[in-house]
Amino acid sequence: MQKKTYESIAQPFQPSVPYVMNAMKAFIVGGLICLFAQLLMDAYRFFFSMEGEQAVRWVNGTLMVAAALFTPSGFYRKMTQFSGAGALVPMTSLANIWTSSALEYRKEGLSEHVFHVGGSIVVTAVVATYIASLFL
Amino acid sequence: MKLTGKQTWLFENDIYIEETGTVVGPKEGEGPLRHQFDRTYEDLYCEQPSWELAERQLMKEAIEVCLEKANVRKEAIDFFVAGDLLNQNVTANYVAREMGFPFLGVFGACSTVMEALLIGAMLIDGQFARRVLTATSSHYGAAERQFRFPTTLGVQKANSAAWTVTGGAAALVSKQPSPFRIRAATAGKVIDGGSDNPLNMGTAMAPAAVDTIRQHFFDLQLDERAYDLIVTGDLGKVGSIIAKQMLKEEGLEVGERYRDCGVMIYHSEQNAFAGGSGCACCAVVTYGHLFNEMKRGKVKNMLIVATGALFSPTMIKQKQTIPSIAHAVAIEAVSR
Repeated sequence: MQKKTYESIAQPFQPSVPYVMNAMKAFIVGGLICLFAQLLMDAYRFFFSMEGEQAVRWVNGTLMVAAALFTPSGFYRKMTQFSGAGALVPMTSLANIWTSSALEYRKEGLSEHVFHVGGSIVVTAVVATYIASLFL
Repeated sequence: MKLTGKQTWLFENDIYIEETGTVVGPKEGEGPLRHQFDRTYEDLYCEQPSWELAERQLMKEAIEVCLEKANVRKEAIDFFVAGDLLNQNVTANYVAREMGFPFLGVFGACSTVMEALLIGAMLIDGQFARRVLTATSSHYGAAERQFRFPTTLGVQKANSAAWTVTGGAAALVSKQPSPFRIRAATAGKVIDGGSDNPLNMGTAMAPAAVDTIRQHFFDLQLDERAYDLIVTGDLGKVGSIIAKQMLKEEGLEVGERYRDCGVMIYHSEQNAFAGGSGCACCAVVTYGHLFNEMKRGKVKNMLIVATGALFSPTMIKQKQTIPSIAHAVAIEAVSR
C-alpha cells in the first residue's frame, strides 16, 4: 500500500487536538502549582525564618517529594492527562518520571531501572551543564 | 479442496466452538458489557504480585472456566493453541507449562484470538485432533510498560490512543455440536499503510482489516449481506471510521452491520480514549457478548475480523513503520 495514498485517506478521520483548551488547562493547573509553591515559600520564610535561596531549595524539595508521593496512586498521571504541560513543570515531572520507573520495574531490579525512562534527561542535563560551564 | 479462492478456508465438516471462557479486569467490569463475561476481577493485579503474573492468572482462569462450562477434563484436550502480547509469548508459554497440554504458540498481536481459532478449526477439520483449546490474553499494565511507558508516568495521551483490555479468553474447538459453528476463515496478509504513531493503532490497522474483509468476500463470492454482523477487533473510534470508509470505496456497504469490539467494550465516559485494544479485546467481546447475542437468536451469523498491529518499540525507534494483520473467522448460530 502506498504511504501517501493511505495517509490522505486516513487524515480526515483523525480526531482534532483541542490546542486552545489544552493551553488553558495547562495555564490554570501550572499556575495553581506555582501559586502553591509561592505560598509554601512565604510560609517557610515566615515560620522557619529561612533566607530566600534556602526557602527556594526547600520548596523545590517539597514539590518533588509531593509529586513522588502522588505517583503510585495514579493521581499524577491523571493530572498530567488533564493538564498536559501544566503538570510537566520540570521539577515535579522529574520526580514522577523516576518514581514511576522505579515502581514499574521494581520486580526486575529497582536500581538498574530507575533511569529507564528518565535516562535521556540525565544525559541531556550533564551535557548541557558541561557546555554551559565552558562559557562561564 | 478446502481452500476456496486465495486465502480462505471453507469448513464443510461441522466444526464447533464447544464452549468459551472469559475473565476480565476492573475497567472492563464497569463497562457496558459487564454482565457478559464469566468472571470479573475488581483489582488490576488479580491477586498477583505483578502485571505479567496477573495476565497469566487471567488466561489460566479463562481456560478453567471454559473447561468447567464444557464439562471437559484437561486430559481430553489434544492440543493447546495460544498466544498473547508479551515478549516471547510468555503468558501462553507459562500457562501451557502449568496445564501440560501439547502446545503451539502463535503470535499475531491482537489478531491472535482468530489466528488460534482458525488453526484450531483446521486441526479438527483435518482430523489431526479431537479437541483443541485456544486461548489469548492481554493486560493493561503489562502491555503499557512493555510497549509504552510505566503505568504511573504522567504523559498526555492523544484521543487516538487505545486502552489495552485486561482479560483472558479461551475457546474449545471440536466436533461436539454447540450453538456456534465455524463456517469459514480467512488468513490475512501483513499490510503496512505507513503509520508510525504508536498512540494511533487504529489508523495503522484499518488497511489490514479492509484487505482481509475484501479478500474474504472475494474468495467466497459473497457480498456484505451474507452476515448479520461484521466485527473488527480493536480499531477503536478512529480506525473503525477509516475502515468503514475504505470498505465503502471497495464497494462493501457494511453500514449498520459493522461493529468494532474496541468501541463496544468501554463507555465513552470511561476515559479510554479511542477505545479498547489488545488480544483480549476482540476475544472477550466475541466470546462473551457476541456469543450471547447468538444464543439469544439476535445474530444468525457473523464475521469476526481480529486486527493486530505488529508493533515493536525497537523498530519504531529505528524509524520503521507499523505493519498490521487481520484474520477473519465466520461463525454461524446453530439452532438446536
